[in-house]
Amino acid sequence: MKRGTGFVGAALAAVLVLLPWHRAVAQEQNRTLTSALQAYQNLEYETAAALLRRALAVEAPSPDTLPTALRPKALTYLAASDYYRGRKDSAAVVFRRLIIQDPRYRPDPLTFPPEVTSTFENARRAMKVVAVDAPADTAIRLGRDQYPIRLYASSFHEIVVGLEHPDGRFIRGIYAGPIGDSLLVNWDGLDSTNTPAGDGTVVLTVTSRPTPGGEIVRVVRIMLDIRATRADTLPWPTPPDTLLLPERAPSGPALRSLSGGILGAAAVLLLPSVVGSGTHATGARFAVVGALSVAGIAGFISHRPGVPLPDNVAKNVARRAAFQRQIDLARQDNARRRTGVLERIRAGAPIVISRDTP
Amino acid sequence: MTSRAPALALAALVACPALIAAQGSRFHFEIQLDGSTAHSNPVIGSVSSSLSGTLFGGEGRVGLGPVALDLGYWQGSLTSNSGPAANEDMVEGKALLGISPVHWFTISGGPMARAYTTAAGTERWLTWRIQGRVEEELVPRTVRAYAELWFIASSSVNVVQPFTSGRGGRVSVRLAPAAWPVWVTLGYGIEQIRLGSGSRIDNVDRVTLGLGYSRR
Repeated sequence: MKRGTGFVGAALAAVLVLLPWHRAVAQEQNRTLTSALQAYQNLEYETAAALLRRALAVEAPSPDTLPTALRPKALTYLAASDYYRGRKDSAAVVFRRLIIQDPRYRPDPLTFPPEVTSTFENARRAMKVVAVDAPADTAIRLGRDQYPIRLYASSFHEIVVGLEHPDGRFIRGIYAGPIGDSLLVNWDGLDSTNTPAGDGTVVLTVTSRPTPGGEIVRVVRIMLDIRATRADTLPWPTPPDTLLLPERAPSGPALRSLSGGILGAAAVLLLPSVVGSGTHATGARFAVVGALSVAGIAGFISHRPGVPLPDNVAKNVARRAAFQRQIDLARQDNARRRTGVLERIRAGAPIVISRDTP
Repeated sequence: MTSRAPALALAALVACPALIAAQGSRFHFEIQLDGSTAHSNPVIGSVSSSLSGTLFGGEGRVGLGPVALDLGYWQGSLTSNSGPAANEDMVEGKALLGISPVHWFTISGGPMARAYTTAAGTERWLTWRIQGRVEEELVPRTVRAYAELWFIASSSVNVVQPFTSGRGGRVSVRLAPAAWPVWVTLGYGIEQIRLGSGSRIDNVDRVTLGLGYSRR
């Protein structure tokens, strides 16, 4: 217990120490970006460009990395700074880098003057870039669900979306045609022969061309790790044979009723001798003897072997019907389970093959 | 038993089912009103007498699950048929607490009081009874039979002879169709009590016809 408490205390102390340090680094980066923006506002474009390049220099994940959310903003200001420094080609390169990173990004026209935004638009129209948004970890039921793939294009162009094996063998084409701003395509988990893709890795490829049949300018590849599981079928319900009641009277109850009546009558006859030591008992007790005897005989007749037992018949009918309902439910459920293959799909990070270098 | 006791017992007999019924259906009760032709054969020494008469009264049972309380009260007059015994009034009551370990068997115990009143005075008998009772369905949902045997464990009697032993039994058949809440019963019972090592033997037997009502 003490050990656990010590560990928790150490972890808490580490968090308390590291958190301010991490915040300080982030604030330093933000200060760099803030200083760069301040320099940009003061028309000190050289200084702004230098600070922004410094902030953007570190791309590998580290405490010095500029947060992803701020990178488009930093790139836009860098491109604008380069533009106003007279380096329009450099500005276009920076915008292309920005478009590759985030095809959906647009500079704020209220912040940046038209010459900057038009430079961006020119770069964007020239770029044929698609961002692919596929669920990182999901499961689909074959024949029912679809695996959604959202595509965001920088500009209008032609794309081909398909699946292939890692060694390049074709699995299935999903879409071939134009894309404007965005597009949603779905994969049903089957290959070109409509059979499940099966376990293993497949590659989702999105190929961009400027025109139909034109030169390939960019390919985005995402590894999809697929694991197919098939649900077990349910066992059949146990037949209710052991629960069924006899539908015709056996001989036991009849004999028990008869013997009960006879024993009762005999008890009335014998009680004066047994209890009263042979005292002279009332003769009226023979009425009781007669009643018990008649009742015993009546019980024997009503219980006589082979007589149908309506109550038991009704209960058995209900139990058989309940069993049949269970069978039907199990049959339906098993049919659903036999066809219900579940594919779990995990998507890897996109790999981009492009003529354009960011 | 004082003169007020029978009235109190009868009041309890009537009141208990009403109270139990008011508390909910988990209680069960039954009540029976009956009349009996009773025959008493007291034997003192070598002198025997015979008396007979009719007793009226009733008995009831209130229960909660396997536990039940039996209460009963009867009274009537016995007329001397032979022997030196004089006519007498007879009053008796019982209160037995029982438990049913299985549905067809009940064991119970409790006091049974009886008073014989003649011109010469009143004999009061207070006996403690241990009783076993079995029941069996003879005709499905229609007729049931009951058999009871008991012995008297102790007794307090205001006569000269000390209590020696006592035992009794009763067999009844009940016509109780399942659809009816009422039933008719016919039974025979006999009890013998020995006093003074057999110097006095009291035998009382009776045939009872009753009408009952039960609620479960």
